[in-house]
Amino acid sequence: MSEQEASPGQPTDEALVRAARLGDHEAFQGIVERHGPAMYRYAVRLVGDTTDAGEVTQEAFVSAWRSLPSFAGRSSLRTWLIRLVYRRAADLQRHRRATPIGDDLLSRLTPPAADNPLQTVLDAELLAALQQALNELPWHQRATWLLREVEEMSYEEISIALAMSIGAVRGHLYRGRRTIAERMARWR
Amino acid sequence: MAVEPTPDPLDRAVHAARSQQPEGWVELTGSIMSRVRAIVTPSAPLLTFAQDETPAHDDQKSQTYVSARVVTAAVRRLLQRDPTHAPEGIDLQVDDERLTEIQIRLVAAYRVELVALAEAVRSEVLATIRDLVGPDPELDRSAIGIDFVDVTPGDPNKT
Repeated sequence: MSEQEASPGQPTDEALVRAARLGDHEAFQGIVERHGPAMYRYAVRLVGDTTDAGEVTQEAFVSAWRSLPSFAGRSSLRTWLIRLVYRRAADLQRHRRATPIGDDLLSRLTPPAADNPLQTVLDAELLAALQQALNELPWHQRATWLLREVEEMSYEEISIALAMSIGAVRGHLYRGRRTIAERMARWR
Repeated sequence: MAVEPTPDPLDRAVHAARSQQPEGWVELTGSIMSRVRAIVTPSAPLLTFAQDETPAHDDQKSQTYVSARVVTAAVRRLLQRDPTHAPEGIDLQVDDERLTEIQIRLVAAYRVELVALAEAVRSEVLATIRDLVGPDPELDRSAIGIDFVDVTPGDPNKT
């Protein structure tokens, strides 16, 4: 089960949205706790900076709180929230140049320690290499690749989240995959 | 200690990225909820009534009001209490600072007797509102409209 799905006995997204629309802070916190980690993870990878990613995620959730009454449920809650993150990240991107990846980001992105310390080190190095490759991708390719490969969203969900056609999603994804594969080839 | 064979470094990196929990998330959650709780939406003042059914006054003879937001929140909490129903919408109609009508949209659990539920809810909502605004003589059960907008297979507060 993914972190976005309701555990048995927990309210569904629909129930949480219904309550949060009526001003229920506890229900909204349930939404934040269920979907926030993935949103923040996406933001970190997309903007390449934890401080900016935190701001992007925070602004997206504030916007979600204000906009819940207009959320019609045509897409899933997760897709709608990712769309809010992407918009704010895109706003941020327009106002600054790409930021080179720093050591601080790499240390914060290290995955949880596995049983095998050597594998943990290898994973951290692979993740660093992946982030470096992502940072070199054009914006739309990076946004699309992350949603498909890391967040495992469907083409249709991505097209809704990024407000582009499914054909455009396929195009960006194809080019992004090719570039990432080339960048990571030296690790084989 | 041996490193297990890895079929593809990119696959491994993607898998690691999927399982990653970003550091700083706990602090960020607190920050988000603080921002959200600080957002106050405009809300109409509602005139309150004393036990003699006249507008309530404080010691300085000023009229006393309660925010429509407070009334809505109290009604919401009331309607979230039972597994038979959940609120979808609560709209207050205010005329000349007086609460004149409450329109409630409910989602009910499958197989609940809706007419009986509506009657029970109407009584409970009226009692809750009277606790907050006092015994407004023009506000009775007929001011509370209830629409059932959906039915769910289980507790609509959770499904």
